[in-house]
Order: sequence, then structure tokens, then C-alpha cells
Amino acid sequence: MNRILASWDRFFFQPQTAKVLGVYRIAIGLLTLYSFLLFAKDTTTFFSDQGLVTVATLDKVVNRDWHSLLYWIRYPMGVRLVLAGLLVSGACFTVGFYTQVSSILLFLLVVSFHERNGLVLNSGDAVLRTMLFFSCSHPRERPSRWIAYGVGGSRWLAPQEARSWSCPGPSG
Amino acid sequence: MELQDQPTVSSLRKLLISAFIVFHFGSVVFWLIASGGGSPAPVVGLVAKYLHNTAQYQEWAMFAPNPLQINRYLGARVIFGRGNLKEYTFPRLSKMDIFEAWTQKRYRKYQQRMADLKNPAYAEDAARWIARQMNEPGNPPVRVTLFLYESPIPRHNRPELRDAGWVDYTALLRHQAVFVPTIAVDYLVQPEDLQ
Repeated sequence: MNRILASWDRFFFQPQTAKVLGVYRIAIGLLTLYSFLLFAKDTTTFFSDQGLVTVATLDKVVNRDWHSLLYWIRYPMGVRLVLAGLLVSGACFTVGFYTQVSSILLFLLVVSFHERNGLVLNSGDAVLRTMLFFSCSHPRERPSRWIAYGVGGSRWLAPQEARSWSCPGPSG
Repeated sequence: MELQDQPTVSSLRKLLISAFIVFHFGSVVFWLIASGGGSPAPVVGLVAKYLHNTAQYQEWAMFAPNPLQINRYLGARVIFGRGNLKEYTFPRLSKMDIFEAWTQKRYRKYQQRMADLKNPAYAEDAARWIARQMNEPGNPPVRVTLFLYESPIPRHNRPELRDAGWVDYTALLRHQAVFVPTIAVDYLVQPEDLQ
């Protein structure tokens, strides 16, 4: 039993190099951007009330809890602006700019699109949602730190990102 | 900040994080097992509440128990105010090159899900959308009949195929397939649908 607990502790809480987490974050960010850039040309068709599925229909058909910003933003222009916000937050997340805020924002916006029209989603989208959910535990970063990361590409993978599960956040 | 300089994690924090990990992954595993049926409803309800509200629900039904053995697509017949008629077909990947198909693949998913669900409310939304796409100045659509076209995928181990040696599946699935239409919805377009 002790061995199991020790293994658990080592797996989840022992400090690790941040490079893996940094690569992971960049990979998820790029995947999210790729996924939604492909959606871009059909955004209003898939996600607005002028498109293939209206919110009124979802209200009738979907009999479970669901949450989406697009429940309130239904017109094509508004939906395009939300997508633009998603792409901006995705870019910020990818480069590590305000990672904690951008990761939460990105997750909420991705969920907003996914929940708005599940008819166009596949299993890969569920994987993306899951990865972004756990990415919300990224530690806070100060903007000055991001500037430092931005100067040298390799510094995007800075050690301050270690241990997203357990790290209380960089203190200095 | 080097690894050894990082702040240590308190026992309480470890406990809370561990509890969350166990709860979350336990919920996901339970959900995937329960979706096959046979689990007590109140527990399923609690887990479903958590997974739906966090958008962490999952469905993995592509390959089992019964992989899809039908090719399907949606199309419509649109009748206009002046009495003329036009056909509309949602993008079909089998009619595209690989790059175009790559960008249009969500339409395939949409058509598959529509065919699976067979929900009249979704079908009416689709009919209204088609009416807006096909609208002509001074000659609005008045009726949209949405069809589901289906064609069985020939089993790869059918004797007549197996004995034939080389089988050109591209020709078999794309050019020789016979699609049978069924009506998904027959919708009379209202003026407000075209707004």
C-alpha cells in the first residue's frame, strides 16, 4: 500500500522538468487553433441561429445540462467575434501569454462552440475538450515573464510551468 | 527557478488534488461503463450532472458494437414560388479531392448524425437553412423536401467479391453505389424563415 501511495505521490507531485508540460501546452494550443481555423469558413452555418441548428431547437431536443456563450450570442456577426476571441485566446495559450487566464478562457470558448452544435463533432473534439479542461490548472504567469519567454523561443518551455497539478504558481 | 527551489505542496493540497483526480477519472470510467446500461440510475444521474456541466462527457461508439455499414448523405428538392424546382445536396466527401474533403469533413459528420438521430426538429432547421441558401430575389422557395439517401456498404468478405480477386472499392463505393432516398421532412417555407 505504501508503495502505491509513494508511486502516486511521485507521479503527481514530484517536481518535473517543465519542458514536457510546455511542449504539451504548445501542442494542445496548436491543435485547438487548427481545429477552429478549419471551422472558420462555416462558423455561422454551424453555430449561429442563421445556420443549420437553432438554439430554439436545442432547447426542445437536448434534455441535459449544457452551457454555452452562444446560447446568448446567436447572430452571425456575434458568433464570428466569439470565434475571433477563441483564436486570440488560443494563440495566447500557445505562446504562454497569461497562461492561466488564457487556458480557462480557451476552455470556456471551446466548450461554448462544442455545446452549441454537437452534430458536427467527432471523438477528437472530446479529447481536445478533456485536454483543455486539465490545462486550466496551469499556474499563473506574470506578463513580464511572458516577455522573457518571447525573447528566446526555447524559454517558452520555462521551468516555472512545472507541475500543473500541484504547483502553487511561480513565486519569484 | 530550479526544480529543487520550487515550493513544496502541502498535504491538504495533495489530498484535495488526489480526491479530485480519483473522482474525475472514476466518473469518466463509470460513465463509459454505464452508457452500456445496467447501472443504478441515481448514481448515473450524479455522474452525468458532473460530466455534463463540465462538458467532460464522452462517447466512443464509432467502432463498436456495430460499425456503420451504410453510406449516407442528405439532399433536398426545393420548389420555388414560380413553380420551378432545384436539387440541393450537402457536401459529399466522396465527390471531392482530398484537400477539399479535409476542409468539408464536418458536413459529413453532420449528415451522419442527422441520419442517426432522425429528429424532425433538426430536419426542419436544415430545411429552413436550405431555403435561405437557395432563395432567389422575387422567386422564394415555398417547399423544401429533405431526403436521406442511403446505400449499403458491401461486406468485404462477400463470396462474390472474395472470389473476384481484385476489387476496386473506389468504384464500388463511389460510382456503382445505388442510393435509396427516404423523406426526412417535407417543409412548407414561411416568409419569416427567409429572414
